[in-house]
Amino acid sequence: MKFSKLSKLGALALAFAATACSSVSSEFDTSKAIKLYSRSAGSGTRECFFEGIGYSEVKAEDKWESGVTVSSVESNADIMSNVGGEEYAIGYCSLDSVSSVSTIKALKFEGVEATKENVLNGTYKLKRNFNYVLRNYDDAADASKKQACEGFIDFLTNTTEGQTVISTNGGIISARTDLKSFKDIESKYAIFTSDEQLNIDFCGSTSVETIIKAAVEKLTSLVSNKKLTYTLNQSGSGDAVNGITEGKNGKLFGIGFLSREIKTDEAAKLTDDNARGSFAIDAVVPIVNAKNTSYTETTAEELTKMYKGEYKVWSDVLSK
Amino acid sequence: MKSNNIQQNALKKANFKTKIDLLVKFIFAFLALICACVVIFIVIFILVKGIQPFIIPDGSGATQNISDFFLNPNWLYDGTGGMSYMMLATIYVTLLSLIISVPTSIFCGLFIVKVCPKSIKEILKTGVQILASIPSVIFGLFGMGVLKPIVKGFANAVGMQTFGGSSVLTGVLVLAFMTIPTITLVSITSMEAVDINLSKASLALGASNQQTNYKIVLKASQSGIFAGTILGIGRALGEATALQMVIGNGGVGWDFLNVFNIYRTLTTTMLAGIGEATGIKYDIRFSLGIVLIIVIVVTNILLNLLKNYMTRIDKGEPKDKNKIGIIKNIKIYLEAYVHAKKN
Repeated sequence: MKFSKLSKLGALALAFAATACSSVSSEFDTSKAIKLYSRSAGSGTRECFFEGIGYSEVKAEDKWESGVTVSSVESNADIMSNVGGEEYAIGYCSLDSVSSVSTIKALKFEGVEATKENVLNGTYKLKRNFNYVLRNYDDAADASKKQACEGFIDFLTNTTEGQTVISTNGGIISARTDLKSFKDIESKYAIFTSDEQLNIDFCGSTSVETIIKAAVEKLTSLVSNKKLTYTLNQSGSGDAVNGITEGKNGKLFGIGFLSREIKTDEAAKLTDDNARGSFAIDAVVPIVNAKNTSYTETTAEELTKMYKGEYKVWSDVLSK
Repeated sequence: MKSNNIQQNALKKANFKTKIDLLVKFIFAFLALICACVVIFIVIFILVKGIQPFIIPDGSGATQNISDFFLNPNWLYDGTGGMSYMMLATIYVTLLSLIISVPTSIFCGLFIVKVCPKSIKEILKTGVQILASIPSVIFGLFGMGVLKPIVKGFANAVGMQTFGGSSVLTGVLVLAFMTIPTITLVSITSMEAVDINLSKASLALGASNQQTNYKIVLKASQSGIFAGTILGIGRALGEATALQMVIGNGGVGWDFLNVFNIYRTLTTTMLAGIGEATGIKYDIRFSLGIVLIIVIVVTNILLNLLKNYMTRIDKGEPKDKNKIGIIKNIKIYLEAYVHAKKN
């Protein structure tokens, strides 16, 4: 007796849960509030997105305007599943992961569709370059250090191994046919084949950290000189040029990495002997829920207003 | 001569045994010492690392502002964040989850021990035991996949809008699910330990089965139930992964009072973005760790005091007659007041 009653109760509870689930209306109600999603503080994707739309105040920390509630999520997969589960959501994720989920929809940014081609040909603007700048080792005694730095950049930009590391860690690179294998370039740099003990310090952007860390691991596993080490001291793009010219805490660094372009006042500190260049591109795509059929294109201005709380409900944006 | 030999052998054996005893004693003492050392080491490590951000500037020269740490309603990792509201939110979420889990666990335990037929008792008990050993991330996934849509539907039904079901309420539900098995298991043990003669006496006096269960069994096992609740609170306060998956990680100030808002707790904030944090953004998490340790230690001390107090009143061994007298008086006044109101 008791158990039949209990099971009935259980069935009732389940039925309630089911109706609660299904009571979500499938129609898109434009009077509902825009639900803002962001990657958590410290994420490189977040930096790229908010720099790209021109709302730099919040790129590193949750310094939202008062009254604006933004849900911070941990990863690309997380933000996609969250936006996919909330009809009124807006968020962003990195370009390489966007196509794999059907519950979300990528938005055109300033009229340009987010594709790898558009990023590489420069029409898609929500992106940034990852740059490097080398210290000018003019002293002949530093020849092996110079070699170690140049060798690292050569490995990163001109070998199949280096390029694989970049693309597997989220960097966008153009497909090239002139890549060599590491074995071909190893002999060019005497430090790679000698057994001299040497450590090179890197500084600059934290956004490149995953790529560079992986590249260092790959290179040190390939190289025959096992006493050659590279150390990462990433603290921010602002330290890249200073780190290789003036040094920080009494330490001069070998390579500085930036997740933006070199500013003019920074360029003044460099000479032509400081080799520099870009090794990868990072791109971010604004996304909404797939049920949000009316919103297909966005602009930096609209996104900024949404994240600033000036547009509160979807009709504010759609009536534009 | 022979008897002398036997005596000597016996002595030797006895000596050997005492030596073994001594050795085992030292081994045990050593192991206990290691355990104690680990606890002390962890606390010291967290303390040292956690105080650093306030004093020593990190690579970019940033330190944590002390007044902001206590007063800023918003949490930031760059040295100007405030943790007070997160601390309150942590306690709030735990309390709400206990409101759900404590009654559920007590009645679940009572059902398993006293009401349900013997044939399914063991099955239910094993079920609860398995539930207790499920890792928290599974509860988090359950929360994401099952509870979030339910909470979302529920919020829509009452005219609220959530972040796709991520809310304080979802966090509360996940924590309740996680603490139920812990509290239930301890409750079961303490209810099983209640002297059967007490129940028999109650039944013999004419009380019904349910009266006996509520008034005798629950009363007699209350200190055990309380111990279970303390364990549950410990689990709820320290939970990070499962909570982070459903609570939304956002919100400022008193936002957490509305259960459909998203918020952050101490643990989820410690965990959020730790993989990409450097400098003070990494070190400040240890400072939050200190706050969490203090919260947990203080709640445990308070609850244990309360527990001892309750058992002392129950056993009628008032060491501090005055205080207990006051409590009893308050109880009498309250009862008189309620009585007066009724009439």
